[in-house]
Amino acid sequence: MSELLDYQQVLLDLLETPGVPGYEREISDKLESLFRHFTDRVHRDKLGNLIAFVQGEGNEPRPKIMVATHMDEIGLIVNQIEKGGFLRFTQLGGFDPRTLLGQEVMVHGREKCLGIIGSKPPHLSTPEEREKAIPMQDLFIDLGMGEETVRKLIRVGDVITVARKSMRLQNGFVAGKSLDNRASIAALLEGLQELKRLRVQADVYAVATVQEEVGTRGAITSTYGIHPDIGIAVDVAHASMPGVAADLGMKMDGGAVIHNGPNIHRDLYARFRETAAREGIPIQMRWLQGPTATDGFAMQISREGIPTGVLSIPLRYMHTSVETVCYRDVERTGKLLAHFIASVDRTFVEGLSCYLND
Amino acid sequence: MKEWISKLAVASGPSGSETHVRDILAELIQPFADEWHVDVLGNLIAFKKGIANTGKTVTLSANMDEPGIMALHVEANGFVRIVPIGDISVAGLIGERVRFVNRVWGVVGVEAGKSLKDVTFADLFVDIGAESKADAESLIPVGTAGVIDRGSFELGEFRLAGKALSSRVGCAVLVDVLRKLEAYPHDLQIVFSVQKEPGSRGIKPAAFQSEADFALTVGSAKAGDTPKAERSNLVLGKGPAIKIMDRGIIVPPFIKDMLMETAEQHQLPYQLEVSADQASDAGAILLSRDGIPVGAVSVPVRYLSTPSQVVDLRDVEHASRLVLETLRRYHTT
Amino acid sequence: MLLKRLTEAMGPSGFEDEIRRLIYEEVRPYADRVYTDPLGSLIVETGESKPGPRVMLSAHMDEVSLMIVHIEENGLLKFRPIGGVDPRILVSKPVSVGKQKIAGVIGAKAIHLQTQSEREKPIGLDQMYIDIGARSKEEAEKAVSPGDTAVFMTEYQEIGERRAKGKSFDNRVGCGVLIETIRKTFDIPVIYAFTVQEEIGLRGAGPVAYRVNPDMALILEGTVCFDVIDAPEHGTGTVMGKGPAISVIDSSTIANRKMLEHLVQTAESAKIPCQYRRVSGGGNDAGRVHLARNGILTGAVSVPTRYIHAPSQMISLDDYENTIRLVEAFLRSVEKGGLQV
Repeated sequence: MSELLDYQQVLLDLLETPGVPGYEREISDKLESLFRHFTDRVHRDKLGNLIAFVQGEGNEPRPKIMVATHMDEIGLIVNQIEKGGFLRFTQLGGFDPRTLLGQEVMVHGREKCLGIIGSKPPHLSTPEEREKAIPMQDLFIDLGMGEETVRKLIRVGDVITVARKSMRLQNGFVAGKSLDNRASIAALLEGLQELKRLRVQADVYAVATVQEEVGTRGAITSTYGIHPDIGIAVDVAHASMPGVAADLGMKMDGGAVIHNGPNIHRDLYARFRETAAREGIPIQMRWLQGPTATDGFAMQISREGIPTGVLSIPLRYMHTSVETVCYRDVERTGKLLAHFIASVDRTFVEGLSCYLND
Repeated sequence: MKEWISKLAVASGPSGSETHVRDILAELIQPFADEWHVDVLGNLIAFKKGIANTGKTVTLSANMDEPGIMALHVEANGFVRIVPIGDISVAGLIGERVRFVNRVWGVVGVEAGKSLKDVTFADLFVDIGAESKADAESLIPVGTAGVIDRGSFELGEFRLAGKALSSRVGCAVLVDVLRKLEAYPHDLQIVFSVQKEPGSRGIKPAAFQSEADFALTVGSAKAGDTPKAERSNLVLGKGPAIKIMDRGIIVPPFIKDMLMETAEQHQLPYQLEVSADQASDAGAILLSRDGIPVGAVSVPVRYLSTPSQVVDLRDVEHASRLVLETLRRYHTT
Repeated sequence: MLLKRLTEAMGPSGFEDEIRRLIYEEVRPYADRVYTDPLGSLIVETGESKPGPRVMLSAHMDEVSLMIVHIEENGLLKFRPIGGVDPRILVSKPVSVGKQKIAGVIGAKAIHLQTQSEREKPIGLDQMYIDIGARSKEEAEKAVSPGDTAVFMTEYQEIGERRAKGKSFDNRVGCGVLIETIRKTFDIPVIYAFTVQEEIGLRGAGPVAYRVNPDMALILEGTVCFDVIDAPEHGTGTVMGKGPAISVIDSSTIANRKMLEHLVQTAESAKIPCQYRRVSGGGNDAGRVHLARNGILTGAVSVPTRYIHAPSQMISLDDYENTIRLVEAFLRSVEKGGLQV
């Protein structure tokens, strides 16, 4: 439908777009126009999940595959305007308050206002204070405006994002905020691009879900609404660095991460591995002993139960404003997703409830 | 409304044993509802048929339960051991009078030699005046729930103090709205839910069956206007709070805006609720089936986790008007 | 011996193949229809064409276990628990690893080699390995792969006076009760559900309840029993030998009064001993089942199990048999219209 987009460049732009849980409209609008390169059938459900439908070529009834990539990012929200116009805030999703000190933030009020999360200079801190992490409730935002102006522009409930320009690092590495989970959205776009070259039987519901960071809420309602035969969540996985256990740290530039464990349907896991081997896509394994902390958590137990798979992109410094991925891993994940989708037919789907045949 | 609130507040309704408060509510709504029933979980669900056959359903909900205690063991000497239901303070129970739902009274004691800060529920017991195990067991079968026995009373000109106000003000608002609402185009469901305290359990099946197109929950939020209170911008008497978020929900922005515009249009005072540590039934409604758009109105309450909560009746009146006007506004949109 | 076969089978959460196969073979002669759902729960329908309320009996078949997550250069296996395992009970226990049931032991540094301060602290997961006798990573990889699961190697035995010891009575006793019950005929539709993934957050039961949508449900479990020396009277949970334990309140459910009273009355009129489960901690599949769809009338009955989640657990065979009797009496009473939704 249009010329090939450079999705790495697209990703850098997506990273800078705000999308706090419950307030995903701005990122959602950007994604809608990107999804429209692949289909005219794009809609939002009641929670704001953005759903792009790409029809397959198989005979009806076609398998329904839902791919969930959450578009929200962890954010903050104003809960009090204090004397002098300083803002207090709480969080939407799990920040480490220690990473917030001294950050520049954007407060999305009647106007967008840039502010700084203030910190006490070392000259004034006692040695004991410097030993302690400051809890979030004691942090404040300074907008550089008088209280009267602040009250005109900002209200309790306005959301806040970290102001961070995205960056290219060496060797195809990319850094910025909200790579969790915009990296997976880039993988989805790469995948949809790849799918155009493939023959696909299944109907695909590509979903940019909302509110994952506050408890996979968007996936709960969108999975119920779509009622897919297969649910795939694409998210990010911790990458290795000193101090991280061998089985928990994935390798940067080591390939797409395939999860396996109780949350994952064995046939989907096996099909991912076969597909990767056939297409020569590098992969790595992440073993889980319980449910994943991804949209796959909710998808698997929707309605009568949905066969679920989870792919991930290795990422360092999760839930900070300097999250880092290697873009080659994004491409590999997208490619694996596309070739997996292309491999699904009716027979495969029908076999997913059969645990008694072998 | 003051009378209803007082009556509802005194009634017992520990989560899972809401019969008493439910009976009072059923009587209050009966004149204004086309029909009502109690579901498997114990939710009281009333219907009012819409006059316009719009095919749409609007649900109003308020939880009717309250934290309490449950008898789980009777000792040889007739003392009753208890466990908590919902969020109830151990230290706050010591020396309290409790009323079990079968109308047996008792006094809460604590094992001797325990320092107050180390007391757990396992150290507490209830003395019901029994002289033997058999005596106690006949009075309090295992599984009997109870609440702290407190009446309610007026505090100053506008305020009310008592137990369980945090849920019962919402119930009173719903009754008031149902009473005042003229013929309504959409089908209306009024849900008085059970078991909110242990984690919004009752509302889940109630929301599932409602298949509502729109819902409003009325509850309460912690006020922050007392000495050294935890940070909160909510103040008693400055109007009901329109919920922006709590632990279980981020209210869809268009609903929050609709509530705010309604309040402004009718010159009703309001505040905005951002609470990180409280939860409401609204979250479970939002996530029912493929999502139910839901908003929430909260009455500010002081001393939330104690048996002496305080509300301002003007906030309750304004909450009722806000819900009523929002319903009217919704049917025109 | 049914309980022996059930408890000695492997069934880690999410990897319930062996136990599912075993149960399938036991129940298929009595079933109108047997099938599995997308998560692997086994659902057995009987009497679907009969009138009367549809009753679901449900028991989870998974067990707490271990997963191999990494193989060290020296051939030792690094593992993590699946479900709630107290690391303190792991040291010096034999385990079976993987489908081939490779024998292994969980070892830790000998006491002689520990400093005084080390000796006083429990041995953490990060200090424990499974040793299968491999001398190198390469050797270990021939027998085991990351992702393989391991369970305790515990033999079922009847011991003492009408007691049995074994692994995973939680919840193979529930599975056993269902299998004993399905051999009987009832005049109402009864659906037997053997659910997966209970031990990692009650994940299997919700989809099953949503699918089956019964009029009422009874959950069968093995539950905490600590009627031992030093436990305070109100801290035992249940008492061994006093019969099936009926749930009143736990972290996932407040019992439905109607169901609770009906179960107690049923036991009394059938002269079956029973007791209340007198502890509020812990949760079971009832937590998901009673909230499914429009709400389901649900109760829970458990066999008291000492040392639950540990390698060697203990039950009273009288409690087990009385639980089977109580479930039959319950179904007979529902047949007669004794419990309406």
